Amino acid sequence: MDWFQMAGLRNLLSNYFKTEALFSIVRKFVFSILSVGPIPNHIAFILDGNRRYARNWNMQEGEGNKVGFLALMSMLNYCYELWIKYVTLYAFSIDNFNRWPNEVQYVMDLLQEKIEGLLKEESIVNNYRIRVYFLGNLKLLNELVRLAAKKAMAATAKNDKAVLMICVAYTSIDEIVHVVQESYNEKKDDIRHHEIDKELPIKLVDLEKHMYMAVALDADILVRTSGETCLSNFLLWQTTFCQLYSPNALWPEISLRHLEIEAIGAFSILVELRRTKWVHCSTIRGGSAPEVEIGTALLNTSSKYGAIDASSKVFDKMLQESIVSRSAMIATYGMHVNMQNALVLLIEMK
Amino acid sequence: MGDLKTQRETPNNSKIRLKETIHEIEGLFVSVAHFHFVREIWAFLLRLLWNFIHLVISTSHFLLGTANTFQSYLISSGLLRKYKALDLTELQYLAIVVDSEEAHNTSKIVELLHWLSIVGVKNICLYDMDGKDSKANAFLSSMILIAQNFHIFIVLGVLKVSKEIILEELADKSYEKGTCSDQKEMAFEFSSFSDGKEGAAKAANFLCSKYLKDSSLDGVDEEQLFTESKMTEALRAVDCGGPEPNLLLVFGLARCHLGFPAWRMRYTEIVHMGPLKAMKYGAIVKAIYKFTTVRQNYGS
Repeated sequence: MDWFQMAGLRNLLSNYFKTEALFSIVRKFVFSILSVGPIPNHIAFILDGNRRYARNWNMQEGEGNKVGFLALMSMLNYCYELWIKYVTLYAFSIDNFNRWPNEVQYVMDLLQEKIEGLLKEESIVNNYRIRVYFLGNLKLLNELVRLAAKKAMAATAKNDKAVLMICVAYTSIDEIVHVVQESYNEKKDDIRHHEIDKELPIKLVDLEKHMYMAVALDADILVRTSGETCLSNFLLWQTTFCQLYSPNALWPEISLRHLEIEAIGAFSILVELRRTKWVHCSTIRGGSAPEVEIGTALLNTSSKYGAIDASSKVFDKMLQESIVSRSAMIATYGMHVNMQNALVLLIEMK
Repeated sequence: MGDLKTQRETPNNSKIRLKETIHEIEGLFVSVAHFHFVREIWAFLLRLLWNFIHLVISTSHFLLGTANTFQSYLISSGLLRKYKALDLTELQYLAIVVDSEEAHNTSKIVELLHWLSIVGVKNICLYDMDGKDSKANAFLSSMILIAQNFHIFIVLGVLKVSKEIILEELADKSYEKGTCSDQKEMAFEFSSFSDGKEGAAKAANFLCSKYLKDSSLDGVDEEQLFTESKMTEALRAVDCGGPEPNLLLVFGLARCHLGFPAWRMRYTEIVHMGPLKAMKYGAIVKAIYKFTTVRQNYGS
């Protein structure tokens, strides 16, 4: 049952008393069950299949995008209800500029209209206190869309509960070239005075901090609808450990069950543990101390699955602590009834 | 008289009041305990339901896996006609991503490469996360095994160290066997995590130092200096470039590409094949067949 049919059914049933409330109660119950297990922190969506949907249903050119937008709003609601903090969308690729000019113009107009809609009081952005980012080569967009995007970013800059990253005029290749250019501007002097056999001036950390996607950690799950298994120049750099999922449904047909059953059900303890092991090994083997955020995330994951030794190793290796990481470590010891260590850390904190 | 009465009553009143407060506090504790008890029960119920859902999903995955295994046996036996003759004109370059732990299982890797040679794949890139050095010995021995058993010439791309040794071994073998007319030629490339992100950093350094040392480029707009094609050339210059694979097969438990070089993965179809030890010939044929039916429009 796709989004369209579901919405139709709901409209029909909402004539009956309390159906809407019933749906939301059932949904909240299911979400509370899912929250018991590991929930991804960051989901990325490739919104593929709008045009095919329009053709299948004999709709006008471009109507598929409108239905796609409605499906997007419901998916975003579900994600934020599940406390998935970061959501990334592949709204428009630089390759899509090669489409028919009419089509491109239609999508741009729709984008502008919807961005302005986001700034309204009753929009999802204000309900969930979402900070919106528009990532990509914004210079390629027309003036109106670019201004609307900048306005939206400025207006939501103070929101801190969740983050929505919309990739427009974005490709990974373009992002990497942009990153090299920014690093060049930053490190001109170092490169000029670089001597052979010394350490190279531009390091991997320098590249990574200039990435458009540096505002969030790497994605945990990438969902591409319409059964395609290709990344299409999206997040190629950031999907090292990202679980790829390709349901056969077209984007306007995506529904809650896809999110629940496959993306989260399949995101099982086994994958979480293995990923923690990889990041763990590569961090500790590499000799580098984990960054605060990664270290804290590792702590949280290891503690959730009872790997106390792993947690304490990560904690010791972290050079730069924060209150968050220390309290995470204290919570770990507390959860696993290791009161002595917890108290020691607490006293040191003061 | 009144004072005595109040004096006598006050200790009794205070005792009663004390008892009342104790009762109240006990009542509060009981309600908190009940509330806590209810919360515990609720949490237990949720955990139970989560485990039940997890069990249902695991069972359905298991059943799906069994069905796929059955299908792959059918394909291997040659009963399904559409998988018999595969059109490999679209498949110019195939990449295999292997989980580092499974990469040590060289016999499985050799078997996989043998199957791919039967299917008819000519160019393969083998990728795993660990560095090349740890793999060098494992793959060296597996390459020699292939060369001996299946009369295939192998040209190693990236493993420069082992290249000379391999060619020496092969040269000896070819003199022994004379010139075989139906020798299949397969090209292999070895890649690892350091070719991806760190390779990009090396290319960035190469490109930037090249521009700064070339004074004729002063005043040229930076947008024109840093382009896709220049980056591709730079990657090739630092030995981290290579062709873009059309299809990427991931062998491992998780459905991720484990850091395969980003620059080469733009429009690559990524297919998850499961763990290496459970690989089936039929599954590989099915994945390649499915690739041949895909029509890419590259975004336009």
